[in-house]
Amino acid sequence: MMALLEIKNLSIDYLTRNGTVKAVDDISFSVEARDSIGLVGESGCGKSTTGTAILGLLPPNARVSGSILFKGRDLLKISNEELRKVRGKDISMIFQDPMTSLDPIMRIRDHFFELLRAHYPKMDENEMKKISSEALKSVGIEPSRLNNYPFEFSGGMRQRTMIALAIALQPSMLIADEPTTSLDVVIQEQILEVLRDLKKTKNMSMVLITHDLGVVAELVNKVVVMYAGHLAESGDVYSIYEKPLHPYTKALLESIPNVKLEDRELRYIPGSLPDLKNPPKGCRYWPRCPYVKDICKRETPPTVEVDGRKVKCWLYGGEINAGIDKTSSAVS
Amino acid sequence: MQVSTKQVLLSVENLKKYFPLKIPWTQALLKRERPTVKAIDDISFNIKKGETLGLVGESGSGKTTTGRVIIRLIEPTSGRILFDKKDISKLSKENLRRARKDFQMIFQDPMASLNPYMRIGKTVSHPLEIHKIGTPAERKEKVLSLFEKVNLIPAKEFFNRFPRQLSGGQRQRVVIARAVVTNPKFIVADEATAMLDVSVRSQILKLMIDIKEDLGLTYLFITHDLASAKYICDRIAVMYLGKIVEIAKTSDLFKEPLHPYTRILMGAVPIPDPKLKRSKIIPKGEIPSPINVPSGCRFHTRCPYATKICSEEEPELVEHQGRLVACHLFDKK
Ligand SMILES: Nc1ncnc2c1ncn2[C@@H]1O[C@H](COP(=O)(O)OP(=O)(O)OP(=O)(O)O)[C@@H](O)[C@H]1O
Ligand SMILES: Nc1ncnc2c1ncn2[C@@H]1O[C@H](COP(=O)(O)OP(=O)(O)OP(=O)(O)O)[C@@H](O)[C@H]1O
Ligand SMILES: [Mg+2]
Ligand SMILES: [Mg+2]
Repeated sequence: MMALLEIKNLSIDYLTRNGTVKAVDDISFSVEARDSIGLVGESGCGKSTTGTAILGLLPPNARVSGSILFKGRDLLKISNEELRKVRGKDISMIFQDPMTSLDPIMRIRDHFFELLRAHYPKMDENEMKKISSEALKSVGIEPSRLNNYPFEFSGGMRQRTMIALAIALQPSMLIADEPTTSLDVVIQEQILEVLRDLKKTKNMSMVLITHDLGVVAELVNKVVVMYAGHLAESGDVYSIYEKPLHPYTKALLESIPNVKLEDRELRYIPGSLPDLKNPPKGCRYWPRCPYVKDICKRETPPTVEVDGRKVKCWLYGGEINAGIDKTSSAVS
Repeated sequence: MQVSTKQVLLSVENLKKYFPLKIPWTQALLKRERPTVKAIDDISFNIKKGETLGLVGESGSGKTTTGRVIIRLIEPTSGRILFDKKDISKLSKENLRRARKDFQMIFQDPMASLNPYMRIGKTVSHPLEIHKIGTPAERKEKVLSLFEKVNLIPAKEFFNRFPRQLSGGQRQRVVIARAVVTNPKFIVADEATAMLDVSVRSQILKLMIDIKEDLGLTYLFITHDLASAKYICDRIAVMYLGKIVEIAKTSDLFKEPLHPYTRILMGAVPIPDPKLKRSKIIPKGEIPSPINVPSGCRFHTRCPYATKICSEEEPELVEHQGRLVACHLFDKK
C-alpha cells in the first residue's frame, strides 16, 4: 500500500551571506493514513524546516532536494496553483508562531471566512458562521469572541485559534508545529482530545512537531527523532520510549523533568547543537556522545534497521554490534 | 530561606484590568451596557527582593495582562503597584522611561516582539544604546558573551542574523538575552522557555538563576510548565479567570495543592510514557468566559467539590496553615 505521505532523501539548505546552513540532511520517513508521527529533537535541529517544506512554504533562501510524495504526487514538483489547493484542505498546518501567522488587522471571524471562501467560494455567511463558531468552541473559546482582533486574545487563545483554523476544513493531514507550547495542561488535554477525535472519526493523520515528550507519548504512534538536521532514529513510540537505540534519543528521554518526583534537579544534555554551517564530520552527535568511537568522527553512519526501527548510529553499523546497555536505558 | 527576611520589592494591591469588548454596532445599539473582559479582577500579592514568584493558571486567566500592567505597558483600570515603595502607577512618562531600565519583560511571542528588519545582535545591544551604557565595542562584547550564555553559538555568526533566520527556540533565547542586557532589577518572564526543548530549557533556567544571583534580580515567572515552575520559583500564585485562587511556597504547593483547580492542574500533567495516560480528572464543563464570570466562586461550574454556597458567595483569599487559598472548603466561617 502506498503511504499517504512519503519523504525521501529530503535535504534543505539555507543560503545566507556568510555561509550555507545545512538545516536538514538526507532524511526519509513516511506517514500512513491515520498515523500520528511525532517529530522531536532539540531547538534548531530542523523540525519546523521539515514541516514547512511539506507545504511548500519555505523562505526564498532555502534550497530543497529529495522528494515529498503526498498520495503519490511529488509536492516539490507541482505548480504553486496546485499546491495552494492542497493547503488547508488536504494538508493543513499550525505554525509555531501564532501571533505572526494571524493578521493583526483582521478580526478572528475574517480569518475563518477567508479560509472558507478560498476553498468553498459559494458557501453562505450563515454556514461560515456556524463552522467558525464550532471550530472555536472545540478549542474552548466562546464563539462571541469571533469579533475580536488577534491582539485582544491571550497567547494561548491565539494558539488555539490557529488550531481551530487548521482543523476547520477537516484536512486529511495536519502538520502541527508546537501546537500546545503556551497552553496549560488542562486545556492541552482538551485539545489533544479534539485531535484524537479527528484522527478516529475523520481518519486524519498528523505530523506533530514538538519538544514535549509527554505530549508525544499521549498522542502519536510513531516517533522521528532528529539531531542537527539528521534523522537519528525512527520507529514506534512504545519501543522508542522503552528502549531507545540512539544515544541521543536516550539522553533526550532522560532529560524529561518529572513533576511527580521529589527532586528539583533539572537534567540536560551537556554541550550544544553544532554550528550547522560547519557541522562536525561523521556523525553530527559525536562531540556530545558518551559512546563515541573513532569511526564516528570520520564517517557519517548509515541508516540501518534494528528491531523494525531505523537508527543512524555506528553502534548498530554492522561489525560493531554492542548497542547500549539495555537495563540502563529504561526511563523511570 | 534567605528571601523571607528581605524586603518587598513589588507590591500589587487590588489590581484590576477590564477591557471593553468590541461588538458590531448593530448589537451595540440594542445593549445598554458594553460587555467587558475582566482580564484581572482585584488581585493582590507581593514579591520580595531576590525572590521568584511563579504565576500559573489556565490560558486566558490574566497572567500576561498582570505582567503587562505591572511594568506599565498598559494602564490598570484600578489598583496600586508599588515598586521599591514608590507607586509606579503614577509615574510620569519621562520617569517611566528612565525606570524602564530596571524592569524588563520577556514576551510570550518572541517573533512578534523582535524587529524583523534589525539584526539580532543590534536588537540586543539596542537597550544599551538607549540608556547610554558602554562604548560600542563594550556593547558588542557584552552581547556576544550573552549569546554564548544562551547557547546561540557561534555567537559571532548569530550576531548578524535576522529574526526570521532563526528557529522558534533560538528567537526565544534572543529575547531572553535582550531582557537581561541592561542588568535590570526586575523581570517579568512570560512563558520565556515555552518553545525550548527540555535540554535547552534546563540550561536557560539555570542561566536565569545564575543571572539572578549575580545581579540580585527578582522575577515574576509566568508559565504553564509546572516542571519549570517547580525548579525556578520560590513561591507560586495560581490564577483562574482573573483571580488568584492560591499562593504558596513551591514545595508546599507540590506536596499538597489545596484549591481544587490547583489539584486538577497538578494531576493533568502529561506523563512521558506512552503506556500510561494522565489522570482524567479533567473537568468536562465548558470553560467559562471572562465576560460572563460565574457567580460566587468562579470555579464552581467545573469544581468536583462545589456546594450551594460556592455558587452564591465569592470566597476570599484567606490564610490556611500559613498559606493563602480562596475556596469555601478552607474558609472557616
Ligand atoms: N531563513 C533561514 N535562513 C538561515 N537559517 C535558517 C533559516 N531558518 C532557519 N534557519 C536555521 O536552520 C536551523 C533549523 O531551524 P528550524 O526552524 O527548522 O528548527 P526547529 O527544529 O524547528 O527548532 P525550534 O524547536 O527552536 O523551533 C536553525 O539552526 C536555524 O537557525
Ligand atoms: N487588548 C485586549 N483587549 C481585549 N481583551 C484582552 C486584551 N488583552 C487581553 N485580553 C483578554 O483578557 C483575558 C486574559 O488575557 P491574558 O493574555 O492576560 O491571559 P493569559 O493568562 O496570559 O493566557 P495565556 O496563558 O493563554 O497566554 C483574555 O480573555 C484575553 O482575551
Ligand atoms: Mg521550530
Ligand atoms: Mg499569556
